[in-house]
Amino acid sequence: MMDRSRRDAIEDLLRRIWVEKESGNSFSCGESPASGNFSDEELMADLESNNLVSRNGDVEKLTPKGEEKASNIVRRLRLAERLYSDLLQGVDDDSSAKFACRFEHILNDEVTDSVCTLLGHPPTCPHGKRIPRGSCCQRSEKDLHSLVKPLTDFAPGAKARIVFISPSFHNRLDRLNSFGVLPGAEISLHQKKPTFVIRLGATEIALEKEVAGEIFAIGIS
Amino acid sequence: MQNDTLLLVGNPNVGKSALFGKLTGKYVTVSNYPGTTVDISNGKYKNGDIEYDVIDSPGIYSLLPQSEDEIVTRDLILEHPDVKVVLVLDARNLQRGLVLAHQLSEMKVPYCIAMNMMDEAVAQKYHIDVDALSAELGVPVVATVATIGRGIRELHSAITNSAVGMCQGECPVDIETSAAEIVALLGDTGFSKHITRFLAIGYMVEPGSLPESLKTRNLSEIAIVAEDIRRQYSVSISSTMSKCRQKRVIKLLDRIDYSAGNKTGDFAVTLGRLSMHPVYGGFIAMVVLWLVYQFVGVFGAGMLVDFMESKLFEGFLNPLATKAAGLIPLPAVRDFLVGDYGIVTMALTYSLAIILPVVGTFFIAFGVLEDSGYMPRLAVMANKLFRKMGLHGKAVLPMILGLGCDTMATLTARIMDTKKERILVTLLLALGVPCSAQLAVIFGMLGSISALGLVIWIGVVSLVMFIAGSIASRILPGENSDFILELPPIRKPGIMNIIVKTGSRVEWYLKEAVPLFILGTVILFALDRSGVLVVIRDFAAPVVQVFLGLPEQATDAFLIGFLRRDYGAAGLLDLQQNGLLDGTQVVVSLIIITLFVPCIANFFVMIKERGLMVSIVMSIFIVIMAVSVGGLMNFVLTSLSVVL
Repeated sequence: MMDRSRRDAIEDLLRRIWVEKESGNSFSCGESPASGNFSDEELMADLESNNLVSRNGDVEKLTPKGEEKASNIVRRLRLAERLYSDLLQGVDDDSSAKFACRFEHILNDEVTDSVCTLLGHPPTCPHGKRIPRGSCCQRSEKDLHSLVKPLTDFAPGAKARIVFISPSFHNRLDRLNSFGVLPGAEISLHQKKPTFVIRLGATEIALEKEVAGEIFAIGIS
Repeated sequence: MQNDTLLLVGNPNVGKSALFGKLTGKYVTVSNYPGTTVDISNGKYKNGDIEYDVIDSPGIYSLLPQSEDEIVTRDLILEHPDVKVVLVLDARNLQRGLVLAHQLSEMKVPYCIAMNMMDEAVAQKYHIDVDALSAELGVPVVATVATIGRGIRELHSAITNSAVGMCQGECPVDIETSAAEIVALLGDTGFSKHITRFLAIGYMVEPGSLPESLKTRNLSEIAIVAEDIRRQYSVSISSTMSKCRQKRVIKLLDRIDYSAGNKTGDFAVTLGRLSMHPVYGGFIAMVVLWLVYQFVGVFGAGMLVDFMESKLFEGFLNPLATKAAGLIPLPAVRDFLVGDYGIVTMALTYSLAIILPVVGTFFIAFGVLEDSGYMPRLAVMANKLFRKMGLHGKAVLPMILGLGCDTMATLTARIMDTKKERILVTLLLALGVPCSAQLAVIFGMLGSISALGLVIWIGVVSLVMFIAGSIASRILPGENSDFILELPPIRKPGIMNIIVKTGSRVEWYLKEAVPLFILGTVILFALDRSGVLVVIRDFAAPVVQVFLGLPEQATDAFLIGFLRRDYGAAGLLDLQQNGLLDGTQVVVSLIIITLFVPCIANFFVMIKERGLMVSIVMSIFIVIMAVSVGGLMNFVLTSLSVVL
C-alpha cells in the first residue's frame, strides 16, 4: 500500500491538471508549485503507469479513467468548501480552503454523495466554479436529510437563509441579484399561492413557482 | 454664476422624485432619453453661487447595467464629467441601496447620501447611525423625509460637501486581472481610469452595455478576454460581483450597528397581505373592479356622457355649429364640418362628449389603484391567468387600462420586459379587450336579451383571447420573461399624485388621441364622398348576409366600427331597436364587433409602437379571426336552434 502523503500528493496533482483544463489551459510540469515532498515528474510517472494520464510531447492529458478520478476529487473538494461556508458558516476564504483541503482526502464516494444531498446538490462552489455532478445529482435525490432545500419545499411563514441559486437562465439570476436575492440573504416566505411572495428586509417580492424552485435555502429560526 | 450637474440616483420607490420636486420646485420638464423609452426629468436648483441642472434618473439596482434604465443612468454619469450625485436611499432597505454607494465609490464620482423615509424607519424602530455611515463611507449623509421636506436644508450643505467615497477591496483577483487587460485594449477612452475599469467590468457582465463610443475598439480581442474569464465562472460574473459587493455591504452595516425594525402589524400591511390571499384576494379584486365599474361605467359613461352629449353638444354646441356653418356657401365644406361625418358633429362630439368623460373617470380610478400600491398585487393574483395567454402578471396593467382606452393601453405595453410580450399585449388588446365606450353599448344590447347571451359573449371572447394568446406565444420568436415583481407597500393614495397623473393622461388624450379621431373622421368623409364606401359595402355584403347570417345593414356598422369602435356597436343597437336583429344575431354581431380591428386611433398607435409591418399582419389576422369566429358561432347557434 502506498503511503498516505504520497497518495494525497497524487490526488492533488490530478486535481491541478483537471482545473487547468477547466480554465482552458494545458498542463505542463513545473509550472505550478509541486505537491509537498514529491516532484511533479515523479508523481506524473506514477499517474502514467496507472494509466491515468497520457503524455503527448510536453503536454499531459487525462485518460478517461483519469478524468473520472480527477473530477471526483474536484467534486469532493468543492463540496467540502460548500459544506464549510454554508453549514458551518465559515467566514473567510482562507480558512475555508484549508478546511476543504484536509477534508477532500477523507471523504469516500458514499459520504460525498450524502454531503451533496445534504447541501441540496449545489451546482457551484462558493467561488462560483462548477462542481462536477455525481450520481446522486442525476437521481436528484431529495430526502428528509436535505438541509438545503428549494423554496418550494418550505412552508408559508418560514424564515430561511439563501444558500445558492441555480437558475436555468443567467438573466434570471441577474434579476434576482438586483433585488438583493443573493446567497446569504435572509428572507421570510409569506405565501406560496397564487404566487410566491417573499420578504427581504423591508421589500416584498413576488416571484413564480418556477423561479422559487431554483432558490435553495436553509431554514433558520 | 457656475453651472453644474446634479444627478439623483437610487433604487425604485425610494422617494427620488419627491426629493427632486423639493429641490427644483415646479419648473420641471419630462422627456424621453434619446433613443429609449426611459423618462428622465430635468429641473434647476440654486445652491449658494452654483446653479445646478438637476436630473432625476430612473430607479435602478446596479450601475453595472443590465437594463435600459441602468444603462441610461450610467450614461448620465459618463456624459457629465462635472457631475455630483445625490444617492437617495430608503432607510429601511439599506443593504440594497448601499450597493450603489459602493459602485459610485469605485467610479470615484463625488456624491452625498439622502437617507430618505427616515420617519417610517424610526416608527418601525430601525436603528440607523447616520454619522457612523458617513464616517465609514467618507461622504456626507443626511436623514430626510422628502415628502414633507424635512432634512432638505441639511441636504444643501451635503451637496456642496459631496466627496469621493472610500472603498476598500475590489473584485476577485482574476476578474481584476481581466478587467486590467480590457482597460489596456480600450486605450484612451476619454473617461477617468476608475470609470474605464468600471466599464470594463460592465462589459464582462453584459457586453451590450459598453458605451457606443467605445464599441469600435479592439472589440474581438476584448471579447476573447471576457469569454475566457466568463468560462471560469459557471455562475455569471455579475452574480459573483454582486455577491462580493453584498458581503462588503453586510460587513459595513454590521460595523455601523444597523438593525431592522420589528414590523408592526398595521392595517395597511394586513390589507396588502389579504389582497394577495388565494381566496380573500379574489374577493377583494372583485370588489375593486365593481367599484371601478360604478365610478367609470355608471357615473362616467352614464351620467357624465349623458350631460356632455345630449345637453352640451347635441342640445347646444352642434345646433350652434350647424347654424354657423350654414353661413358657408359651399355644401361640401359644410358637410365636412357638420355633416354625417363632420369634424364637429362626429369627431369632436365623439372624442369630447362621449370618450373624454369615460376615459377621464377611468384615469382617475386607475390613478387611485396605481398610487395605492394595489396594481402589483392584482398582478400577483392574475399571474396564472395571464400565463395561459403566454404573458405574465405584469400584463394586468395594460389589459385593465384597455378596458378604459385600448389606444392608451397599447402605449403602456412598454412595461412588458421583452419585445415578444409587447407584441402579444398589443395583439390581445386589439383583438379581445373592448374599450369603455364600446362596453357601454354592448351591455345595453345584451341586457335586452336573455342572460345566456351575456355568458356566450364573455365566454367566446375570452376563449378566443386565450387561444390566440397561447398560439401566438408559441409561434412568435423571442423570449418570455420571468414574473419577478417588487411589491411597494400599500398606502393611502395621495390626492396630488392622482391629480397630476390624471392631468397628464388627459393632456395626452387631448393632444394625441383627439387629432387621430379627427383624422379618422376625415378619412371616413373622403370614403363616403368618393363613393368608395358603397363599393366596400357591396363587396362585403354577401359575407355578412350568407356567412354571418346578419342583415345587409350590419356591414355599415362593422365598417364604421373601425373608425369609432362604439359607433359600430351603436349602429348594431339601432338595428336591434328597429327589430332587424334577433337574439342569435345580436350575440354573433357583438362577438364580431368586439373581436374586430380596433379603432383607427389604436391602429395608428400600434404602427407607432410596433411598426407598420407588424400592425398590418396583426390586423389581417384579427379580421380573419373575427369573421371566422362570428361565422362559426352563427352556424353553431342556428344548428342547435338556441333561442336567446
